[in-house]
This record gives sequence, C-alpha cells and structure tokens, in this order.
Amino acid sequence: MGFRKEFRLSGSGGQGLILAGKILAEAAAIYDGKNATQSQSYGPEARGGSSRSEIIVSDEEIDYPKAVNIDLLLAFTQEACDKYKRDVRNDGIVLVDSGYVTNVPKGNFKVYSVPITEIAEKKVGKALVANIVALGMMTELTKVVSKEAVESAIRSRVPKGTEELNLKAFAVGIETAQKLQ
Amino acid sequence: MFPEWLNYVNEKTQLSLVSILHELSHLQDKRDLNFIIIGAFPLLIRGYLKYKVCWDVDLLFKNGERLKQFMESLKTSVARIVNYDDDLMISENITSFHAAWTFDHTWFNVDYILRKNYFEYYTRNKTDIIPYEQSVTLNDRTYCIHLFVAHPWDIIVEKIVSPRTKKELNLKIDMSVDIRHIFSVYGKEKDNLQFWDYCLEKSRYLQAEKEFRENFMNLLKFAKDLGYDNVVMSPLSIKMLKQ
Repeated sequence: MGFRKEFRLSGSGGQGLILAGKILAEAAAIYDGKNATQSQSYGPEARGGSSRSEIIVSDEEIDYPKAVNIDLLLAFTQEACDKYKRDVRNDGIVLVDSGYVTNVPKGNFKVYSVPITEIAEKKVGKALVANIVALGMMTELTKVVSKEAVESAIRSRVPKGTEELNLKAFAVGIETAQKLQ
Repeated sequence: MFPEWLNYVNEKTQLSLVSILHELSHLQDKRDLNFIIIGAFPLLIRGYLKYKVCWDVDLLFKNGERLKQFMESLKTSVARIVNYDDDLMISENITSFHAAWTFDHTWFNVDYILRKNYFEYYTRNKTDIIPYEQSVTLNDRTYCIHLFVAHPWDIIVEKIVSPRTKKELNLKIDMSVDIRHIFSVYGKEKDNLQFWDYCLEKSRYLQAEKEFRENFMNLLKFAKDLGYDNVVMSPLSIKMLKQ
C-alpha cells in the first residue's frame, strides 16, 4: 500500500520556509521519483507577515493537493504553532524553533523543541540558513525523502561553488535530528 | 514540437503544464487582455533559465473585475482546480490567490495576482508584450499555446528595483531566486545596447531609475560574494549604469 506524507512549514516572511518547502518537493519529485505537491501562502502582510508552505509526498498519484492530516509541522513562530497544531495527526511530529516558540504545544504528537536558528548561527555561522538546518532535521525525522535527493535539490538552487555552506547546514540538521531520536 | 525549455520541467508534470498553457490560451482575452503571465515562467520559455526546479505559473490580472470574471470562467474549464486559499490574500501592495491545477493527477501551481499599476507597466505598449506561440506534442496529442507573456526585460527591471532583492543582496542570500534570474538575463544581454536602453526607460516608468542603476551596480559588484564567479561586468554595463 502506498504512502502519503504531509508537511506544513510555517513562520513569518523572510525565514526561507517557502524555499525550504520547494526544495523538499523538488527533492521528492525530481530526484527521488516520487509524486509531490507544494503550496505556498502568505498572510495578509504578504512577504513580511506570516508564511506557510505545505508539501505532500506520495509514491502514488496525489488525488488531493491540500494538507489535511499533517505528519510534520515545522513552526518558526508562536503564532504559526498555535494556529496550525490542530491539523497534526495522532503520532505526528511538531518541530519548533525554541528561539521563537516558547509555549510548546501538547497533544498526541511528538514535539521537538530545538533552537534551530541558534544552531544555524553557531554551527554553520549564518542564522539565515536555519531553514536548511530545519530541512535536514525534517529529512532525518521523517525519512520520506532521501538525504541524497535533498542534497541534489539544494545544489540545484544555489550557484555552483557555493553549495558548501548550505550542504553543511543540511548536514547539521541531520546530525541534530539524529541526536534527538 | 518539443520546446527546449520543457526539458527543464519535471517529466511527471510536463503534460499537466502544457495542458494548463493550452487552457490558459483559451482563457486569455487577446483583444482586451485580462491577464498576462509574469514571474519566472516567461524567463524559462524565452530560454534564459536552464535548470530544473518546480515552476509555478503566475498570472497578473488587469484588475479585480477581470480576475473575478476569470475565476467564474474556470467553472467550465476542463482542468481540475483546487484552491489553496479560502479568499483573496490582500496586502498593501499585492493581492494574491493560490491554486493548483491538474489534468492528470500531477499538480501544478497557478497563482493569480493583482498588483496596482503593474499590469499597465507590463502592457504599456504593444512592443512590451510578446505573444508566445508554440505547438507541443505529448503522448501523440498536439497542444497549441498562444499566450501573451511579460517581456523578460520588464521582469528583470521589476526585480532589480524591488526592495526584496536589495535586502537579499545585503544579506548575501545565495539562494535568492530573484538574483539568480537577474544574473541569468544579464549573462545573455550585458552587451546588448537595446537591453540597456529598454531597461532604463522602463525603470523611469516605475520612477525608479536611481534604484535601478544603484541596485544593479551593487549586484554586479557583489556577484562573486553571492557565488556568481562567472559574472563579469561588461564595459557597456558600466557605461550604461554610470551614465
């Protein structure tokens, strides 16, 4: 029987979550040969306000492209966490950046509260790659998309020769997630 | 019958995309334009972008009334459409609506956009908009595409004067999609005097000539820091941007 996995990446504009969602979808669809959809939505203050990206990955045809039963919610703001935790399925995963989300949700899901932005800054040297660190964590926590596919998708998104920083951020994310499990 | 740009579209979504373009060709009012295609897509089909990512189709509408009419007309479309947004997402400068379209279970994002003054910017005179005409044969069926799409140089001017690009440059974001697009076009057009005259004229239309010159010059100066080692400033660029 096939699988269908739903991701929701939420936060505020400028945190790179839409891009992280695109990379995840591209990894699944282009490099892993799966089916994937990716949606993006901005809140009322487009591009400066809230932002949300939903990714569905399946090894079968995707009949409905909207996320309704979230397997993994990534929240980079308290507002996003409060708003979207309701859609997380039982035994799903909620991953929050503890630098921004202090009121951690409770429910029938696993919660990982990790200082993602701080880790990006300390271990990679650039807070701006927190989205890629989060991408590494999601890859490791769910194992829906292969590590190699995400690395290929990252490479295709940056100019040749600058992959190192982003791939390092991705590896840091993988490593961080491994320590959680 | 198989355009080169289609090689840069995920094989699984090629049919859906071509079907969408075929459908949009019917939905576009050619005599009194209701929308044009903007964003990365015109750059892709005009041969400026040569890499494989998940593309979107962005439709910029003339006004709210034409967008409403378009959405009404979709009820009779043969495409299966799922709206991501419950309503129009309205902000100070831009109104958007996100949807997914399919003809075969592989979904493609189609975004509907309203942006004050920008439809006029893109369609100001007839030479600014170039119809894209192409027949594509997939699975033994031929699809005819006839669509007015934004002029690639207009797209670049808009990106260069955008505060977002300036911010991404200041933060040295190497994954900036807009900066990648700018350098892709620059690489092809930097020695083309017509390109520079056109862009400067359109930046004046946006009342952003100063920003155009400054931002473009800064982008070129810091190209290496952004990872674009192959971007070399041509003498003509320096001359045109410093004039």
